Amino acid sequence: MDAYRDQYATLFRNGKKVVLLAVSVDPDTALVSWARDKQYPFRFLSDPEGKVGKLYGAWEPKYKLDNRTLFVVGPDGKIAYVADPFQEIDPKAYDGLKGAIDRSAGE
Amino acid sequence: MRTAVIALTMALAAPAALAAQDTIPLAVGTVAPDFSLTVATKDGTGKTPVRLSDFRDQTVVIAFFYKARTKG
Repeated sequence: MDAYRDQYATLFRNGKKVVLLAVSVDPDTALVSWARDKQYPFRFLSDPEGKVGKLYGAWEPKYKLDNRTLFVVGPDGKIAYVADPFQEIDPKAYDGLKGAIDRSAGE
Repeated sequence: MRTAVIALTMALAAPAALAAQDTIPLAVGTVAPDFSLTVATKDGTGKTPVRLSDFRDQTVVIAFFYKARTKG
């Protein structure tokens, strides 16, 4: 998540017309505490039963966690880009994501 | 012998293939299904749940991850 925070201005345009939602099975209180400690500027969503993870095919049934699957949803409500998995710690992963956001939100 | 090995390989591979099907992500071009979840930020827990449809006409990045306080 640190990489998302550190690139929030360039990659996610400081949240202007681009919304980052980070989803996990963690309780909301654990997410608030982490976001506060790390000063993450974006939203987390708590999905303790994995219902949205299952809906999107990001669910790992063996560990009852979400895989690091990332989706970009365009303004038309359709999925425009999928990274499965998104390697957050690999700098190269961001080229594809930035391209997808730029295509979706306009250069 | 070769037939037996192939049969055994298929028997072992089948459950893994079935399990993997659970985790096939939605494809590009699919309408993203709406959802409603409790939101958490550095400022606290949201009073009302967040829906995907709250952000219509914007670009939404949905990043699933394992667990809070883990890398990646």
